[in-house]
Order: sequence, then structure tokens, then C-alpha cells
Amino acid sequence: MSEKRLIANEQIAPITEEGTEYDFYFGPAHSGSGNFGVKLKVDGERIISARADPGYLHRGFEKLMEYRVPIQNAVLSDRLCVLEALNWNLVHAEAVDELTGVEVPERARYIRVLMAELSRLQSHLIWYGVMSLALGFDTGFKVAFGYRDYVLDIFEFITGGRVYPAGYICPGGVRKDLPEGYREKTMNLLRQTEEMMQKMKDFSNVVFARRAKGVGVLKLEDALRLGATGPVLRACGMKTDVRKDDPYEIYDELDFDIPTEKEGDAYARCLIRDREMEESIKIIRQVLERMPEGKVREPEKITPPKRVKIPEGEVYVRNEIARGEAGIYMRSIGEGEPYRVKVRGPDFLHMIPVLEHLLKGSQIADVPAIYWSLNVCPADMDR
Amino acid sequence: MSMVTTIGVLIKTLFSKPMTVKFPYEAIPIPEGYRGEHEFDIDRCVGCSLCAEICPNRAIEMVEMPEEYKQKYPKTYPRIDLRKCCFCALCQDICPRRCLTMTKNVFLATPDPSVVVKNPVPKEEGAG
Repeated sequence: MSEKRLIANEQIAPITEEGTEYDFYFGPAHSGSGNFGVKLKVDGERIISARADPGYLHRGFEKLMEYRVPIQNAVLSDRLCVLEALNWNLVHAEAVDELTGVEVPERARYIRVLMAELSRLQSHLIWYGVMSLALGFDTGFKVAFGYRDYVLDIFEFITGGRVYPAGYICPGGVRKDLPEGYREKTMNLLRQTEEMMQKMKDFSNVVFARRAKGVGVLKLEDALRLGATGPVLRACGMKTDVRKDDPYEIYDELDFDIPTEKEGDAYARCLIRDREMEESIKIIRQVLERMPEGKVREPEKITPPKRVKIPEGEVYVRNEIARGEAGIYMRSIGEGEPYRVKVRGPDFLHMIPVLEHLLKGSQIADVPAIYWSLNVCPADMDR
Repeated sequence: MSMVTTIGVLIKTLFSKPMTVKFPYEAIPIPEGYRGEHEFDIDRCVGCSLCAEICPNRAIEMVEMPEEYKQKYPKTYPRIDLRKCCFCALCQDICPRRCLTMTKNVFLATPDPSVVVKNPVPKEEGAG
């Protein structure tokens, strides 16, 4: 083992007989990490330091968006995060709507919230799946992905695509109206999801509590200092949610709670997501009850790209997506394409400063539990 | 106690119906409005090239017809490169004559590279 090997242009320290310190790579081509890598310095089983290694999935969305008109960018915004495409659609659409000053029809606002919450459910189901996988509980992974497919069936039925809705939530409203029979199908889906959540509860003590309790504890002051948002911050005891603090669409008319926990460990983050799913189901039920009739898009037809003009101005819009606070800054100088787009994903801060902070001092066996308790998405971080 | 509950759930799941189907013998039906392979009706096309302009991936190129059809079809018509296509259906939505529509065909994997670029052809010639 004295021979030095070269991996990713960096020398890995060999394991010597005298010392027990060595470098350990977690990802980027690791089944448990997604397209993201963390370089760990390890002493025996204990992690001395961790350095996140972003950039494996960089695609340059901010630059690509400067060459496309808003409706094309809506399609592109799907890819910002594979796991919750509709939520990113909504952030982008709101930014453009605020610049153009279009009055979004009432029905479109309801459909937007319905889809955003379904997307949150679906994202939390994926999280449950990968978290189970990370803890070595394969059954949970398969069950969660099976139930996630029921949500994808609804997406396919409404948007025409299972994972990518192709900018279904677009500037001015939504691309097409809800098809006949959507209400029954969605209600049926909610019943199935509740069945899944009961299963989650039955499993949680055996699997989650034993592996995640007391692991990766994040204190509130550290969470605020490192820029954590969403469920990660709520698990530290702070009651914050953009849907309540800075309501968008119709969230101020809806009745729902913001779950919080005090412990700040991986298990608290699991509990938060579990209760958030309950709240999402509550929101969806309310939206389905109140769904108004009317137009779904303003203007109804897509404007040809050469005739599109975004009024001059700049705007920053933020939304609560499943992983935390997502924002888009957009600046226009009066052309068809935006002059500058800046995407603020929640995972950039969760995957670099927060993760590095949590991994320091923990055990190798706890790395997957800490990593997935943050519900990270490399696509959103690298952009 | 919790272990008993977990084992109970596992035994129950063991005897319940599977969540998957035996593809390809059985498949989950694809709903209406799915964004699959394109279908092009050349007789209705006016050659306005809006589909080529709106395509976010520039997968559509407006091309002239071969010599033998130029008499009947003198304009330029969309040629769709399925390798670049992201199946967003913006071309379908913007088409003023509804000549470009998306079908439910999702089985597009092929070992033959010549069929992934869909040239505009008259209807009687086969695939359009």
C-alpha cells in the first residue's frame, strides 16, 4: 500500500503501518451519494474533516437561460432539480410573471399549488426511499418508490410526462387545463399515500430511530450561520416557512401548520418530513374542494419567440420547495430573453457548509444517514 | 413491540398484490395527452416555421422536399431530430394548423440510426 495512486488529480495518502489516518472518498459515482462527492479525512472510523467536492453535475443553467425566451426557460427549469421539477417550474414562472406584470387566472393559481404540493409529496417519498437505502433498509426503498409511481401516474395524466412536466407551470398560468376525472384520481392517490405513511410509521422505530437518533446534530445557531433553510432549519426548532412568511399564489388562504422539532438530529429531520407530507395532503384536499372554474393561462396561446418582450426590471422571487428555500433572481433589459438569471437552490448550502460541519467528528457508518437526512439533490446544487 | 408491528406489516405485504406489472406482457396504459413521438400531417402544414423557432433544443429544422415532391409541396417543412428532442410539446402547442401532434408512442429505442431523424414525407409514403 506504500505506492501512491492518483485519483482525480489528487494524491491519496497511503495507509501506513504507523498511522491510522487516511483519505476516504464518498462519491461522486457512489450509489449512496448521487452525483456528488465528499472527500473525508478519516482516523480509524472517525472523520477528522470533510470537504465537499461539487461540480460533477454542472450544466450551466444560468447561462443557458440567457439565450432562451421564458416559455423555453420554463421547459429548462424542469431540469434544475429532477426530483421536484414542478416546484422549480413555479419559481421560474413567478419570476417572469412579476417582471411582465401578468395577472395569473384564479384557476391557474389553484392548479399551480396543487401541482407544487403533489411534487413535494413525491419528493418526500423519494427521500424516504433513499434514506431507507442509505440505512440498509431495502424494503423501505422499494415500497417508497412504488408509491411514488402513483404520484407520477397523476403527473403523467395531467402534464403528459412522468418525471419532466416540460414547463407545465409556465409564465402566465399553466400549459393546459386539468383533464376530466383528475379529482377522483387525486383523492385516490391521497388515500394511497396515507397508506404508505402508515407503513412509514410502523417501520420508523425499528429502522430510523435506531440509526438516526442523536446522529448529525445541528444546533440552531450553526444552522442559521451556515444558511440552512426548509426542513433542516425547522428540525432545529425554528418555525419558518416561505409559504407562511412571504405567501405566494394562494397559500395565505389555506389552512396548514408548520411542523417543527427541537433536537436538530437526523431523526428530527425525518420526523419533520413525515409531518410535512401530512400537511401537504391537507393542502391538496383544500385545493381540490375550492378549485374554481375559468381560464388557465393569460394569454391563452403561446406567443411566438420573436414577438416576446420582457419589460425592463429586476426581480427576486423565493418559494418553499421540498428541500428548503428556492429563489430566482431575474434581470431584463427589455429583450425577449432575460439578461441575467441567478438561481438560488437550497442544496448549495446544505451540501457544502452544513454537510461539512455535520460530518466532522462523526463515524463513517453514519455518513449516509447524515447525508440523506439533509435530503440533498446534486442537480439543484451544481445547476 | 415495534418489531412485532414491523413483522406484521412485512407478512401482510408478502401476501398482497404486487405493485409492478409483467412488462412487456402487460403494461400500464398511457393516458391521453402523453408527449410521445411526433406525428406530422404535411397536407395541413403552411411552412410557417414557428415550431422550429420555439423548439428549446433546436431539434427542428425546416427543410425542402425532395425533387419528386417539390411540385406538390413547394414550402419548407419540419425535420425533427429525435436525438435532440426533449418532448416538451411546445411545437404542438404553437402550431397554428395543428399539423404537428404528439402520439402515445414511447418505444423509440432503436438500433437503426437512420430512423431517429424524422424527415417530412407525404402521407402515402408511410410514417409522417
